[in-house]
Amino acid sequence: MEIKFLPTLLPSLKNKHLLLDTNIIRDAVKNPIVFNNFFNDLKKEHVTLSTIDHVRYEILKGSLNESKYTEKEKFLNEIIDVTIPVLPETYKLAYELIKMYGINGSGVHITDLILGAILMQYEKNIYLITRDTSDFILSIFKLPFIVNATYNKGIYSYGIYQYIK
Amino acid sequence: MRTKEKIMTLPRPKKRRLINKTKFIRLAKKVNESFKEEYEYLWKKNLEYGDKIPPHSPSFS
Repeated sequence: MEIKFLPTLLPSLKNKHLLLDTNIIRDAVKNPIVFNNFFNDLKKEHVTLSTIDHVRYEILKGSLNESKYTEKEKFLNEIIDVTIPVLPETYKLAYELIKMYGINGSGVHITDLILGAILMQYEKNIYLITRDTSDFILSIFKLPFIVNATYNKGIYSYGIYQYIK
Repeated sequence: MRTKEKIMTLPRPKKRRLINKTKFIRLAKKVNESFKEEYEYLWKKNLEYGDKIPPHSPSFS
């Protein structure tokens, strides 16, 4: 597997926060070598790798016992620099987002709504990386970059999204 | 009540550090095993109860 992105990606994300969705963390579990390099490239540019508790729950749930839970927790802690708190204001923005989505929001998961609300809350200071490219619609979010990860059966494409009014 | 400035402040990491490759790969292997177990559990449960297909269908390497 190889991760390919435009050379302008790292300078654009420099000193910003990058929110990680569940799917990229799951992909990192399957391909730790390439994602280790990718995440470290970001960290070297002072990109703060972030997530929210909802994403952590999705990774941690289902653990067979405490030892397996702890292993997942340690894995998350290796990647994640900060967990961004979901504030009452974030939940209010999620309601705004639901209105903006309209019918397109019928299938959107709660975690994605909260991630979207965090993008709305912090605007130019934060980006989201996700492989779930159908739930972050371009009538609401900007898609300044695409990151491609090639693997033996095809390509995973990750969108890097931002919300700017 | 929070001020607008307070709301817009993103948390910063106390200490910046790179990922330790060896540790990361070791942990990833263990977590991958856990995900496999969870997937198999969901698969069996869904077969047994005729529920929907598990939401995640990863191709484990």
